[in-house]
Amino acid sequence: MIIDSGQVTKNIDETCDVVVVGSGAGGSVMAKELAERGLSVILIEEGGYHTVESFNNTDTINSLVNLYRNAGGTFLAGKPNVMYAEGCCVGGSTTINGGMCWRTPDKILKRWQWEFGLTDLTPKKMEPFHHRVEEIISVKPVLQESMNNDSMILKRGADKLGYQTRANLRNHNTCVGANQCITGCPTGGKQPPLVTYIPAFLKAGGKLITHCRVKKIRLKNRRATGVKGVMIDPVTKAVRAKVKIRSKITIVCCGAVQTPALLMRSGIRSASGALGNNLFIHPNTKVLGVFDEPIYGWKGVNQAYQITEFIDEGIIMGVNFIPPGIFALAFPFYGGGFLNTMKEIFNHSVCGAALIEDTSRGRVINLPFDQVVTTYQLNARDFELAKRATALLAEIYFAAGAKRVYLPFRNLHEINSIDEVRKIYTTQLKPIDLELMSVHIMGTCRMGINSQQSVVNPSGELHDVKGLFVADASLFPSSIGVNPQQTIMALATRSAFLISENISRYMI
Amino acid sequence: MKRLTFPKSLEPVFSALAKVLVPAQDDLILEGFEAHFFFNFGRIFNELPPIFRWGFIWGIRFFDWFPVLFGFGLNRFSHLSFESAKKYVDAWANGRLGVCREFFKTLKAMVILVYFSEPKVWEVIGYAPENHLKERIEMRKKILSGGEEKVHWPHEEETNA
Ligand SMILES: Cc1cc2nc3c(=O)[nH]c(=O)nc-3n(C[C@H](O)[C@H](O)[C@H](O)COP(=O)(O)OP(=O)(O)OC[C@H]3O[C@@H](n4cnc5c(N)ncnc54)[C@H](O)[C@@H]3O)c2cc1C
Repeated sequence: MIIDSGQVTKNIDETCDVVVVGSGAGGSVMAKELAERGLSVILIEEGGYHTVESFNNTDTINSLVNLYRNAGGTFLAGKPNVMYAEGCCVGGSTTINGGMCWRTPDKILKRWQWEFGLTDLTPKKMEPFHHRVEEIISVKPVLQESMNNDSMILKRGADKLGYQTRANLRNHNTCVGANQCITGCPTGGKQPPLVTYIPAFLKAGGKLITHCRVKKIRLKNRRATGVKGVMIDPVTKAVRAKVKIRSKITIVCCGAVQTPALLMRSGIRSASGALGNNLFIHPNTKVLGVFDEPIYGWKGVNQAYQITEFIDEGIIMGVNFIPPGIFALAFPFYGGGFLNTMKEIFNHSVCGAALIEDTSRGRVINLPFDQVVTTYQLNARDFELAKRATALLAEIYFAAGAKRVYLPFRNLHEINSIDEVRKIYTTQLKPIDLELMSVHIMGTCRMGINSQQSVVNPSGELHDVKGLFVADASLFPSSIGVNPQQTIMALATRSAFLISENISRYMI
Repeated sequence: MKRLTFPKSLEPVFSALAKVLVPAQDDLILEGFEAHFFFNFGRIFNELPPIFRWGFIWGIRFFDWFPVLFGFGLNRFSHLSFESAKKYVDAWANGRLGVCREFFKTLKAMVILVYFSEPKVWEVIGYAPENHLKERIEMRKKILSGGEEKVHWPHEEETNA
């Protein structure tokens, strides 16, 4: 059953076993897994329920407004400011993501074992949870028919230089490369929770409430007893009704910014002081290569390959075509000739990005009136890594035959030959000159055995509040260096399993 | 409290700004879709958090009213000649004041995003997603009806690093 703010005429007051807040990578998995184990589950989502049929690839603005938080216009304050994107719709960021799937790298799990005592998170013990997720969202290589030129060009460049590439695994069922992943897959090829976990949750008798923003977690004697929220009109943003849910178990899955904000708003503090801190973002540098040959990067699958040669250094790279409105933001220039430049290069370019496994940290600050501010300070190590990643991508493009490369630096935005790549090192560049963006926000409620070091325990329950769980990207104790959705989903599957194993503990 | 939405009174400022940021060859940029441009602009604006909306409106007013501080006489930006408007915009984009540069970056991003999301502009640059989608949907139907998918690589190759 789905209840939307458009249908409500009076306040909602309900009781259930489990309330899950946020229907993204973590929340959708938790809701489905627990509902299928016979628990009564209510899943609350701030955004709307948009079906595959409603995705409209001719209106980018409509997609941004309907599917993204703040229409995609959110940033982390720092030097430089970093734009980041997250979903606000049923399925959360998974509805608008590129569909790349990775298991958690062994080196990351090892680090979490050593530093945070997460000894149960070994590759072997995580295997069944990853496997389950992979089956449900159909993780597999891309189809032959869906291959596109930009990925082949990236591979051509990498092959010439002898760099290792990885044929990507994506969650899809006959994805034919419409390449509209980030505005909602209009063919139904991508298999995010919207078309997998959420329908299964509803089938298992779960109740989904949409356009409902949870404002507070209800607490009694250091135990969570449900949530309070409001039903919001999606256009006017007016409050249409109040919502009160009483539950035995409360699971917060609002993403790495909204989860700590909700906990803080509810008066929860962590003895570790880590709540809202340790925000990692996988900073992305966007690099554009222009070629003589026609490419039509928008025809074919998103990121068929990633370059993994530098993964141990903390860099992976891929190409990812985006609609013109967002593509045009990559250019530092404006004015006369911009349209002509776009005309000349749009179908002749490759738009790539390097993902950096960051050690810089950010913070989520909760302000009055339900407002959140995020900060992030790029450190010297990550700045150097961003420079290196940019140089590597430029080198790969030139090796593949690019005639020009646009760089993300304010004072060095164009180079015209492989010899000029060195300028990235010889030009005086400062972090503030760098354009960064992020689509992977993590950390902020880190997991660990020690309550002085972490916010939640190894099963995702808060050290300081009973019956209150976190199951989203905020659990990560560190940056993971690869696309995170599968790790989030596998951890949520594991938590759901642990909750149902110990259910009698909560049903009092 | 009334929700702060994009005020119509700021449209002339954005019109002037758009003309500097994205002029087509013949300067016809917004003609024909100006109303749609502002409609979309308003939609993005209305989604921003209140603190941004508030800051944005006052920032724009400042931008419009104070060319004098940058040596452009007593005119408002929206009344400057095209040449002066260009120079004024350059002063914000490349000036020494980080706050002005950052604010300008946001302004520019919004204008460029909305402008290059217009279907008429897509036509000019050769982006035709609608036809592409139709083709791909047909392709998918064919593959699905033909039974098995042919994946590009054997699964065994795909190990984590
Ligand atoms: C454009 C883009 C491309 C990406 N590409 C990839 C990729 O290819 N591969 C990959 O692995 N990862 C990718 N990611 C990242 C991945 O999608 C996210 O890391 C993942 O979805 C995060 O999961 P989550 O559960 O933490 O949060 P989300 O999936 O963001 O879900 C959080 C949900 O909670 C809701 N919510 C928040 N606050 C409240 C509240 N107070 N009340 C009610 N509901 C609330 C939100 O509306 C949202 O729907 C991408 C992300 C983006 C934005």
